[in-house]
Amino acid sequence: MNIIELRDHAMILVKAKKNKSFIDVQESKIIEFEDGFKNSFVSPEISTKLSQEIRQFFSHDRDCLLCLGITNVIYRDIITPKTNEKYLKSLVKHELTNALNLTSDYLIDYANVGEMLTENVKQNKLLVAAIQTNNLNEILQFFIRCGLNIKKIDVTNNALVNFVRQNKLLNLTENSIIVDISNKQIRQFLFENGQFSYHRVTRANLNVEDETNNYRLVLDAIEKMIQFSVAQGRIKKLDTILFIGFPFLNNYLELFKNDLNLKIEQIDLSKSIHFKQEENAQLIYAVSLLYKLEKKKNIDLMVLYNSLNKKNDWVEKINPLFTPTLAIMTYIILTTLIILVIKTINTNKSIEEINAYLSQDQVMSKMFEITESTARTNKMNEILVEVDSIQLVLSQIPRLNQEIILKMYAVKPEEISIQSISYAGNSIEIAIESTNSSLIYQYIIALKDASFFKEVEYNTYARSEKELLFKSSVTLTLKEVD
Amino acid sequence: MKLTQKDKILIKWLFLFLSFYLVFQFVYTPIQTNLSTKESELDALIAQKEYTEITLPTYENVLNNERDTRSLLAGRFNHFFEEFEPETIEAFLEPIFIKYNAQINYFQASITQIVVPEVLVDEKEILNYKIKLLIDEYEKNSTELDTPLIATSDLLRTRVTYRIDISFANYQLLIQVLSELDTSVILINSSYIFEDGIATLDFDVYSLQKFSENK
Repeated sequence: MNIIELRDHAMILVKAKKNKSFIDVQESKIIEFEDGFKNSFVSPEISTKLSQEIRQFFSHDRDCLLCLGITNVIYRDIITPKTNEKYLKSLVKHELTNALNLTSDYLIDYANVGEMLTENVKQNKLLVAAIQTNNLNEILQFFIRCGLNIKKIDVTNNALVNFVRQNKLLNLTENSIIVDISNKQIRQFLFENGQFSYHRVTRANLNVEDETNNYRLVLDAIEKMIQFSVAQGRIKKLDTILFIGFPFLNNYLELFKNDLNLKIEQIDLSKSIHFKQEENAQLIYAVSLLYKLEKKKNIDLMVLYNSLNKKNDWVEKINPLFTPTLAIMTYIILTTLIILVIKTINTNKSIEEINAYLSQDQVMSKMFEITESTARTNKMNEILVEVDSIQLVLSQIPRLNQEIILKMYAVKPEEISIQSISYAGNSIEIAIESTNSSLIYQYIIALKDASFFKEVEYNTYARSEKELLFKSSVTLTLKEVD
Repeated sequence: MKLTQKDKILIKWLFLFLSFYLVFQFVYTPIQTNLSTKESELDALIAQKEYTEITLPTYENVLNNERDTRSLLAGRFNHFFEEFEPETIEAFLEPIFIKYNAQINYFQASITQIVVPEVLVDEKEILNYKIKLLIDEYEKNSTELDTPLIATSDLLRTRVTYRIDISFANYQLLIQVLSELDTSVILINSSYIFEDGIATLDFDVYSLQKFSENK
């Protein structure tokens, strides 16, 4: 597993593996920043160089655990009544926010580091860590740019607590201080009756060449830590001091013992950590992230960070809708398809039935005969209409008949004689003679009054010199036949 | 390259929508199109079946109707001569003339023509003047000439002329018989001169190609 411990002025890269009873450190690298990691992450030049180094170091596996250094996180130890985990989370957040006047953008997590008896009541002792979301985001964005996939984020203090607890380094009846001396800092952790209480960081430029001066600086820092702890009322007396690594010659251990008048020990890492390369006590914070403590609440800021991001990420928001959407759409599609298939089957069946009915020989022959017969009848009706039209016209043509002649004679005065009758089209022309000219118009008036004809006309008459008779011609127009 | 959780979620959704699109495009749409075609076919068949079910019981009626129409049409055609031949009309008219003691002096059949039969109207011009028009307008009288009644179809017409010797009494009887003849033989012109006892008769004989009742 890949692990990174991020300190103010250094980044420790570790490849380690957890075995049953020890941790196997395969490879490690310490990258130091002169201007602190924040400035280094911002500077494009340094950032690119760092990124390349990290990518190179973790070239095979991109999953990584991150341990945040002491100065990057706010710590507090809190004593709370034993209560449900569910309420403890909000209780811790509320307590720390009020105690340190934190804004709402802090990610706050805690680890259960032990139990205490206060007035004979068992209470939880918690180590609380808080970091501003923006700060954590900047750190994580850098590692994402390095191609790393951060799986878990723990803090230095909790890593040390886990290391101590896992290796049972402390006596639960003694008060102890664990001292970690590095080039620029002296870090001291107070364990009250074997349980972590608080830490103190002293900035000190330890000059390797001047061991006496270095010793004096460390001794001074330890004495101040003891005085501070007693003055705060956290402990009445200190029993043990343990060094994580020891940058002095071994005889200095005796000097510390004599000067402080306390039990002084150096933690033996060889029992718990196997180094493939040179032993380095500074790696214990990073490798301690591999310890898995059962049934104890531990710190993981990555979980909080992810859940916070999930709340704001639309992709995460729609993710819970996936299964219902899949189910509903699948249901709709399947139902629709089943309905369509059933409809198609039914339609095919109906088509077959109707086709079977329509293709019966008897039905087909009869329908053919009906169609042909209807067509023939229609054709005959067409002819009939034309013939009827002709017949209607022919029947309407006026005809000369005996009745018309009789009507002409019926009103004729005896003294008028008809010489000829000529019928053409719808009119009759009669040639008449009379000795009395008056009879001619009287005959015309009589014909008109009788209403036998549509029109009765005459235009002239003249007396024949030879025969002394008046001759005239009368035109009678026949009425149309009804 | 390792996929993040977000990538996985997006890919999951992408696959979901892609799957639905593919199902829609390649499963649903073809089935739906096929079904629509089948339904249209079924609708047409149902209509055809309904028509068949309604029509089949009328089978006998349809055949009877054809028979009746054929008979009716054949009856109509009986009134007409088939493609005029002079001997046929002679054979038809001569017995009538003989019955009324008419002596035929002259017979002529003109060339057969195709004509549209019409009823002649009085073509006398109507004299219109202002006061007449105003009165007609007041009395709502029509000032227009009658339109001639004209058939919608044409047929063959042959004019046949007879000149006969006949008494006036028989002429009247002959005229009466001729006026009652079939409509396709029409006395169109006739004159009778009393001094000579001679009558001239012009017939329009209309003929058609016969309709065969048996075909």
